[in-house]
Amino acid sequence: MSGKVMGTRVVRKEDARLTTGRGRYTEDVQLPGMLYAAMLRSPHAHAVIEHVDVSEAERMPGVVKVYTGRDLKGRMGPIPTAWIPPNSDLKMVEHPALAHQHVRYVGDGVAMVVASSRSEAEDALEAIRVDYRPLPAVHSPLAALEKDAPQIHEDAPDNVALHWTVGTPVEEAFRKAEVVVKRRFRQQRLIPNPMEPRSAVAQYNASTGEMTLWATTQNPHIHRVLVSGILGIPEHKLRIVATDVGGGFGAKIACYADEILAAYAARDLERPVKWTESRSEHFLTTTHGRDHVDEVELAGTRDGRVTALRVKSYANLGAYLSTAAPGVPTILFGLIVNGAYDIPYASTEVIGVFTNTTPVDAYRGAGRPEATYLIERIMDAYAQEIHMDPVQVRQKNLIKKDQFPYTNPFGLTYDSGDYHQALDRALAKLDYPALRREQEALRRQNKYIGIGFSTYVEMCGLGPSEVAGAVGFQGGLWESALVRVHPGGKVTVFTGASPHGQGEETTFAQIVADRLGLPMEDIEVVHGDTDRIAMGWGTYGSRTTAVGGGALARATDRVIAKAKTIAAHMLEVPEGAVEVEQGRFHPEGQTDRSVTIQEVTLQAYLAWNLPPEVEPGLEASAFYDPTNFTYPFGAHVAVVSVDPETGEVRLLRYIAVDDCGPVINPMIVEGQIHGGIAQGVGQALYEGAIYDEDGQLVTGSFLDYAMPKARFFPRLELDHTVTPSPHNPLGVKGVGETGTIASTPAVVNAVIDALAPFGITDLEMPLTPPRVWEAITQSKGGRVS
Amino acid sequence: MTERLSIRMMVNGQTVAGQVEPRTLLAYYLRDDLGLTGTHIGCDTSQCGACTVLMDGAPVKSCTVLAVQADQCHITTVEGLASDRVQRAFQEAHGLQCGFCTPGALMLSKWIVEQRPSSSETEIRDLLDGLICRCTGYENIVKAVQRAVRMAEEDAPETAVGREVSS
Amino acid sequence: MIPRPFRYHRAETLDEALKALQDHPDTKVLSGGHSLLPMMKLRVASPAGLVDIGRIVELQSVSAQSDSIAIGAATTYARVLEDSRLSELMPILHQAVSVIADPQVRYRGTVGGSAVHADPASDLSAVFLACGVSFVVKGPRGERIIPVDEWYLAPLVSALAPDEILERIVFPRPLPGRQTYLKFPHPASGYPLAGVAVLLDVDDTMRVREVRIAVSGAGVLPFRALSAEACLKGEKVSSERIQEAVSRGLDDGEYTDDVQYSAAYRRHLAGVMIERALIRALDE
Repeated sequence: MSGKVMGTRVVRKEDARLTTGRGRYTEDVQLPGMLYAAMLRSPHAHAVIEHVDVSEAERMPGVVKVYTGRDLKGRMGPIPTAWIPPNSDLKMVEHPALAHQHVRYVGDGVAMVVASSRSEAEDALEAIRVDYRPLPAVHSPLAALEKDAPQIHEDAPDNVALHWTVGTPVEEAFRKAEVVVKRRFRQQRLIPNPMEPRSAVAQYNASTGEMTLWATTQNPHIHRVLVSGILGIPEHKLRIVATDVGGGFGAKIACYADEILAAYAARDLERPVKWTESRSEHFLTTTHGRDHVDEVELAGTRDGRVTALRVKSYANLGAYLSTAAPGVPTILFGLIVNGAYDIPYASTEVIGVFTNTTPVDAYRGAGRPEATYLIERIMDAYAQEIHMDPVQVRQKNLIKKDQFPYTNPFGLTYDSGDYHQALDRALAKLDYPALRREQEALRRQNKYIGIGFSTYVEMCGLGPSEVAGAVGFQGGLWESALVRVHPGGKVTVFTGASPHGQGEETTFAQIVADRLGLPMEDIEVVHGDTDRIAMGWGTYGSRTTAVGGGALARATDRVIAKAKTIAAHMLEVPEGAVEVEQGRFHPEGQTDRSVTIQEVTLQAYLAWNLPPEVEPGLEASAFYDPTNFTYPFGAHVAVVSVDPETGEVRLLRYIAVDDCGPVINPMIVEGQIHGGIAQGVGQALYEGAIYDEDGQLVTGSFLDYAMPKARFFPRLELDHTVTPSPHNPLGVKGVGETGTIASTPAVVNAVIDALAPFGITDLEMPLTPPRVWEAITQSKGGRVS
Repeated sequence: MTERLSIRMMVNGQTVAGQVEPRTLLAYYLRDDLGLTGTHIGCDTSQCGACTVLMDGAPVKSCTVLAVQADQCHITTVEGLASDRVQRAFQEAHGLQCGFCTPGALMLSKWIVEQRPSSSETEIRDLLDGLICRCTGYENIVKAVQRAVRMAEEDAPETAVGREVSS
Repeated sequence: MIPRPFRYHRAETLDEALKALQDHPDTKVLSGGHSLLPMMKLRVASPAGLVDIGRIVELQSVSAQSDSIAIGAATTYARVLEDSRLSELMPILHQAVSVIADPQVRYRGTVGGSAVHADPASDLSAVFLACGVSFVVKGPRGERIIPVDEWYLAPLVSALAPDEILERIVFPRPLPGRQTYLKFPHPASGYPLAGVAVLLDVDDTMRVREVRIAVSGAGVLPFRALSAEACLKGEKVSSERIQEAVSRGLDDGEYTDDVQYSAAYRRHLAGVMIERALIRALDE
């Protein structure tokens, strides 16, 4: 029998295949007779399609068929939106899989070639002639709202996609405020860039009408619902498979035109069809993230108490409404702009805007990084305004331990926490007073370091479903688990969550191993296949362990309950008098007489002598719906140096103290935090999508769009506190997004702190060398052009 | 225009021969023709390194090598790394999450471990510049490389992949 | 992303490669392929044919004479780094090559490929300029020796004719002993936003006997900062003198301007890097 594995650094079960090249990602699927699809994409940000001529392309070698938007019009449903926030006046504009009249962003699909090979498909794209009549384009959300801006959708006057307000009245608090601090923050647009490009392989069996679609998705069951609706394939004949998915970060939540088109072609041609995007296509067509302009006002007292917060946000949603897009800048952002602080009054107004850009949807953190950035930045601005240390301002305003459960001004109930303790830990690790002294000394030598804080909280672990319904999410947010103990005592776990790098094949096995007293190798976790798993809602919003793990804990406990009944019968003692310990069932207080879980399981399947009313077999499922979100929190500190001559920022130290509740596998939790921090630092210092005046994406490859590299980072310093959430069986809070949410403002605060001697109080992200250099130069009255 | 050329190479210790269009990239030859789908393609501008394989012992980006250029060469892919200490180090140090860049990370790391074992942490980070990983923040990749170096020091040195070209 | 179809010919000798170029119009020379293939994959370049010179042994030799060092055009960066004699004789070449791209690229990319591609952001362009190399090219009209000052004609355009092949790059000897290559890389591409090569000789009194300064990355073309050199030559080194030299030398370049990195920033950065490279060379 194994010892306890919960809380230990178990090596991942996934890695045996992933480190030997034996993973099976969508693009790895090869089927006999398979064809390849390639998409022709609009080179214009905004244009009318006057004419499409595919005749030459159809004659190209290897070409099987060419589809245009006109060919498909009326033959499939539009690409849907699945989040309709109430009272947001959301404009549900039509999004055809292939454009038939208008193209609205560079990358919008215009035609699809299906050919015998990848190269022939690409060759044929070049033979398609399209006459476009270019229209004026607009790419920034503020410009799109101007009076004479180009109109992008007939059904969305003034390019307003949604208008939503929430919160408590703040006017009086602002009238009475001793101090008001105002800032306008730009949340630049980011490109998610999971390393696996999107891909789809579709296979249709005409004799049975069954379709199998391998797809790079974070939520195969949601895909089944959507694809079934779009293509009219009944859900019991549609199988979505997403076993190995190479990262998602939110960009693989959405239902995309490309996978629908591949499936359409496979059915139409009765041949398997593969489509895989290139990285260049990814930059243009896979959903982007962030892209807000946030106007923020904070009211407070001279002695450091925040009294009110007012936020007005302009959120760029791109050319169409992606699957979850409307919920990201509203529900996932507007409800938590007060962050970890006890602010009595707060309000958020959000205007969602259409532009001629790639659709924007969830990107790691989705809404919460934007909220955390603005509150953490304005807390620093407030501290500066009242000449108080940013740590002290935080300590004064952080929600106190005894205030939990804490209801924020938007009606969210924060579950549990000790925010001050996390900050204290970070300060101790940092040796804050010494570092401030060092900073002073260095400034005298014309050297600049800065210290930045971020004491964050986020809401995640999405459900509950009732809330999902209340906020307009067109689905449930519970999760399913089925635990099947096989006759020999091995276990298969089926989860409706769909991990794609987060390691739940291991953490879920750990949960089951300890409860059943079985070794890890006897437990297999199955995910990402709608034929093997009845239903589920997928992996995003740091929900997998909180909700999927909750379901699993419940299902496992049901298995144990049944096993106990059988064991009691076998041991000839009353049911209530059986204890279970490390896979052994014994009468209370009598450890010398016992039966093993394997013996019980065998009896369950043989069913020769079961207690009355007990059915044969040993498996249980659970459909677990949590009662609240979870609220991980922590304190992150960045220490940076700024080279005043080149403007280069270097990260010198990074300290992260996180509380995600009880830790199932510290190794995996740390890995999530590392990666999250890297992405957040990426936003602060390196990443940013740039469109030119014509709506062309200037940063369309890894040559221009700076992805974080190994050499950008020091070794990260991690610590944690443990405050269980009372809202799920495991007490876990989720850790997939915390690093990204926390780190961006920590780094920017550090840079602004470093630049204080120059009188610089804010800079737009990313804080690239030229941006920092320009600010320093201008502060000295110098010229930058 | 669909001229095809004969090529022959040693892949993971086995001789393979085939006919390819000159424009066939080594990465696609390995994946589509040989079914070695462990080698991944993560970008189209020769930046990300997911497609890294060893060519005559040297790490190269197989998306930027024509299959015909690899004619007569020794190629080692992630499938050919069976039970290598670098794989173990990546597992133990949690040097991977989604696993997509991992084949490239492993091949590059194998080269670092064998050819640059005395690299400092900073130098390892510089040598990893030919790799983009979106999941790990590189922290545990660096630790995995260091772990593999330590493992190599403790064990007898492994035979390096031969650099010479057979004909 | 797959290139358009093309003919492929692997040449065993330079003459065979030259003949292939002559026989087939619109044929490009493939060496390591790390400049050409990425362009062909994006279908920005689509030659009808490639002649592969990557295995021509005569193009991979390194030979040192008393007055020069010749490096074969198809010598990979990795080969340069492994050549301890080269790093001893020309530390600047070793320094520059060791910061080109990443290890994988250094195993395929070649010294000649960099020269012929004539990317103004190539690290080696600054080294070639500072060292005053000559390019020995072979073609149907025989051999030409092109001095580096006449090599970089326009961005991505070198003086090499379409029917010619670069055979070797000749570095004169001796070169000034204090050698530094310093680069500020673009965070995405790794190309220099400003790369500075400095060759310097000072006497015992810190008077400058000889100085060469060249800049890659920042400019529309790589350039020698001749005004900076003139300002330093024969003078005693001081921080004021260096700053004066930098400010004059910056006028020798015409700077690239793009959305992320303005011409003003690149110019400024070139100045910072020149100053730092000079100081590092002096510290050696």
